[in-house]
Amino acid sequence: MVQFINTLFNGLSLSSIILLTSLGLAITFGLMRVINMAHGEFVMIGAYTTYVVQNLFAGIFPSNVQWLFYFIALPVSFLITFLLGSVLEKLVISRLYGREIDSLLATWGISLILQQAARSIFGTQGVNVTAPFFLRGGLTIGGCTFSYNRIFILLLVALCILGVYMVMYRSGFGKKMRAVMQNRPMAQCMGINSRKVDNITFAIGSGLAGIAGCSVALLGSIDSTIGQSYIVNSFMAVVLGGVGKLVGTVLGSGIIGFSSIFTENYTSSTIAKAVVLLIVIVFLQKRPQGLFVIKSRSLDE
Amino acid sequence: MKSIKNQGSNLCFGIIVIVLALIPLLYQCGMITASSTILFIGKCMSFAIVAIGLDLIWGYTGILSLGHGLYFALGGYGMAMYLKLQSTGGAITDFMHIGGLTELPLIWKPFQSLPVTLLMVVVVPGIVAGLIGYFIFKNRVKGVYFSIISQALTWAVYSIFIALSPYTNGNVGITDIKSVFGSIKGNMNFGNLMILFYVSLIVLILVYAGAKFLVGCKFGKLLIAIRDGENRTYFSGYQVSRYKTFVYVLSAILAGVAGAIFVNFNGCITPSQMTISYSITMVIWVAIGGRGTIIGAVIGAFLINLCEYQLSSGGFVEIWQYVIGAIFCITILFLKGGLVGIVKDRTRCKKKEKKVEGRALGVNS
Amino acid sequence: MRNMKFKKVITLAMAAILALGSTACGNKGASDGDTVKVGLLHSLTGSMAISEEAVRDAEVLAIEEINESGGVLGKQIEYVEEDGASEPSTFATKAEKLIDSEGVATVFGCWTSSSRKAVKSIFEDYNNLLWYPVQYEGMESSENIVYTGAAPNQQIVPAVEYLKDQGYKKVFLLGSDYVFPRTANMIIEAQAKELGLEIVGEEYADMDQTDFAAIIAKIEKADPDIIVNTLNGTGNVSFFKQMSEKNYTSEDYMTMSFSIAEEEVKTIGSDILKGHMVSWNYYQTTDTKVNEKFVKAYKEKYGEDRVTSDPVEAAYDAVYLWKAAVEKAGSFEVDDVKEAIKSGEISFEAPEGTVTINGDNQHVSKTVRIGVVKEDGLIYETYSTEKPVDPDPYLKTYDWAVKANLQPIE
Repeated sequence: MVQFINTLFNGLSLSSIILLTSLGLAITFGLMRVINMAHGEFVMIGAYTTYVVQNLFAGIFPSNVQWLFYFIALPVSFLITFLLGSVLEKLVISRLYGREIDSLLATWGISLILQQAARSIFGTQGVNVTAPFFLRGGLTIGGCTFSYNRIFILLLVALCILGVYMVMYRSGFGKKMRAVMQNRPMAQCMGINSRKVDNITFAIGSGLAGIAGCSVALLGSIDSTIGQSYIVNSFMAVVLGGVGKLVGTVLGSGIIGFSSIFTENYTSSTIAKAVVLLIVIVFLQKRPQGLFVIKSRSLDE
Repeated sequence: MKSIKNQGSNLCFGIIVIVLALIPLLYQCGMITASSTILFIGKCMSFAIVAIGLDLIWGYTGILSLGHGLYFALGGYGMAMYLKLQSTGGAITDFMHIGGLTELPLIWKPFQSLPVTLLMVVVVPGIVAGLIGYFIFKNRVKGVYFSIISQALTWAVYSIFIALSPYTNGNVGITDIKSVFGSIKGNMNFGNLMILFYVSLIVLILVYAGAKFLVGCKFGKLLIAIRDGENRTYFSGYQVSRYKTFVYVLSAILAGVAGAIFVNFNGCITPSQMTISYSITMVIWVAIGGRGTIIGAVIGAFLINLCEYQLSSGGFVEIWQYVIGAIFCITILFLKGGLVGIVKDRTRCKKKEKKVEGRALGVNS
Repeated sequence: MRNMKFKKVITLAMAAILALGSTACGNKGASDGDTVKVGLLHSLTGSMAISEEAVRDAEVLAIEEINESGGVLGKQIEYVEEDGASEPSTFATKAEKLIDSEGVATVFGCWTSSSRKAVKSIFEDYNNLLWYPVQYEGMESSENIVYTGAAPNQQIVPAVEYLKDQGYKKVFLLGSDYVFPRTANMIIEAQAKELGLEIVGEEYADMDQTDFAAIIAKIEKADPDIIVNTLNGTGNVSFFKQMSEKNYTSEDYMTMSFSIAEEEVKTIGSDILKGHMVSWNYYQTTDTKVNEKFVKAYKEKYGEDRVTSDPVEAAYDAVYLWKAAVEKAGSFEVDDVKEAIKSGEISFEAPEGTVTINGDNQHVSKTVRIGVVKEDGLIYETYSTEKPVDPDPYLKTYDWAVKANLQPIE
């Protein structure tokens, strides 16, 4: 029983991390059909931002309020990646309007540059973010230990989803966003500035990557390659989930997260990874557009 | 107009071939001081072959595969297994011994003979690509979906290769092997290197000519038709998925052949040839050289690799990463035709190709 | 129209860069005039750059020190650097370039076993010398490679003996999925059989693993007294951070690590790692006169916050050992240097104590030190062998290893 609960919690936790790293990707993919290969590097930027904020804090504030840095780092990471995302969209993505595959490649070029920039600025060696005291350790109930950090990430993901939901389905901007998502030319005819919608959506997506970076900073090493280790799972979650529906991404991340943990219980982690990827590939043969599809009569959908 | 363009690219390829053919001679009369340079150019030839394959599927048919490293490595491993068995005399290798195997695994057995190996180098990537292509294209998986799936597949196979270390030697791969023609390192083995070099050059010429022929005939037109308007092609009565599968298999086979040649020059093969970033590097060659032109792929493969060879050392390392990232980005953004596209633009009459906004919209709706 | 002009400018710039790049040429010759050329071959980009940069820095430091004190045989050392990009094939290409095009006298380089194995035959075919500075899994010895890091009998084997002496019984083997952990664990299994230790589990994590929850669950289930850890750099960070998330400290699960040095302690955090054991031949705290000087010089050159570690020190030694070998040979020729090494008399007063190259297997005799991580982020020695241990890469002198038939077939 204890073991079962543990496994469930681990699966839930892994799913939430995958979801956090793929949420932003899902939004931009849903709207612009842009697979942002530099998304992982935005996660990296978020993580490094957390590190910088931590160090700045250590320089300015006394040690007993050190833990506050994390609450500053979260919005700062969001803001920085948000702005960078906006700039990137303006400079690169917006020029590749309607050329999905090209934008995928162009963002790969960007990711090469960003990785090297991280190496030039922070050096090649990994840096460390110390978890604030309330995120260290875990809560033990009846033999199961639930790490505070992972509980926090779960809450953070819930919050992010809520936020995205509010923006997408409960705001004027969200209405425009969904309109552009469903039928771009029609939305343009109705006077929606689709370029602006694109820009802000992309920026939000990047900002979410920043938040993801901030939270994975506590889980592992922070170095210039950190983005690459999260990105493949995120891509798969998005593609599995389908385009344009939040619930698809949630489910996609869940499937990948849980199946990884369950397979890993029985085999080695390398095999588990291959198995999960192959399952997803086979599944996509059955439903090439993912789990959830916005109904459309358009041929090229 | 068209014939001039065609002649131009053939002329260009002719020049490349002549330069390549002269390189070993230049070495012998002392113009090139190091035989390792020739070795590296040999590797570049294999890169050019895989680039041609990638260009067929991406530049002509519009399907971006981010997993050609997989086929490159499959071909490479096939060749390497044969070469390894040559050096152990057919006995089991030390990594199998460490992995606890006492006799040669079944999967290694066919690689004891050269003809079978050569067959496998072509057949294995072909079958894998055929299976994948058949299902994926039949189910009409397109665009970025295909790219992501090809990427995931590569990653999955990579993991399997790492996990099955008694059979594949994990991430060390197969090392310590000589070429088909014996050792090619150093001055006394220059004869072997020369044979290998010219054999590879001939393969490159054949592949180029074959690809050129293919895109020149009706088949090539169909590929472009699929790229520019898949549904229209479909409605015109063509079995689009079959054509796509065929091209995919063809390009996988070319990647396999390239991998086999690469191993001969490189002396080892590792799973890192199978990684996603390596596969995307191949796409970079084609993009910068010029997609949709066979010569562009060749030029791109040579140019980028030679640059990297010269520039990614010492103080240039940092700059090189920025430069390659930026050049790639700019090429994608502004120079859709790559380097070759620029030349073509200039020779073409001042007729400007005006992009119709409507098409882009249509794709996106 | 503006667009066209813009395009032209970009094109010209790109063409210029590419053309410049592909025609730039290196010049040949190992020692001309008053300099001798050596190569440095490490990953400066890619996933291994995390570890390799520090090693490269140590080599540069040693070269500069030697140059300041008059060079080798009266010649200044000039180093040529190449990037292996964390990719074995690139290592192979670059090794060929260094040896053949640049004509270097020797190469200091590599970190991973896969990169070393990829270049091994190249060094043999071109008859050049590689100085490999990292502890590794053994089972190899080449005339053209000098291994200045520990062989298994100078790190792994004594550590396991130490564990047995400390009364640990149930061992869990945890490693990354690559050649060093797999071979190391094979050795440990054979040794454990001899010593009567019980192996309660063996797990390999993927190289890019970021989530260790499932592996930690397996460890909990196996309930070992000691985890023998051969994870690589980034894996270590994730593993230990996630162990601490579950409130586990060294008191709950003790670990003995073979790939955690001072740098890794810094990125994982000493609050998490304190109390855990490691096994190396050198620590920043090693108490010798030479080390004091070495640590000071290293920090002066690269910053107060940098730390020295075993691989860093081994890389530093490598340069000095090469100098000693060259001076004994009286020549930079590889064959002469190899001859000098074979004499078995090449030694250097290193920060870890005197190290001597074994003439038979080209490894270096080293003192084995078991250490414990303390709160200040440094590692302190708790046990050391009295004198340097002779290298035995094939474990030929250990009966249990011979019995287990560990040696590779020739």
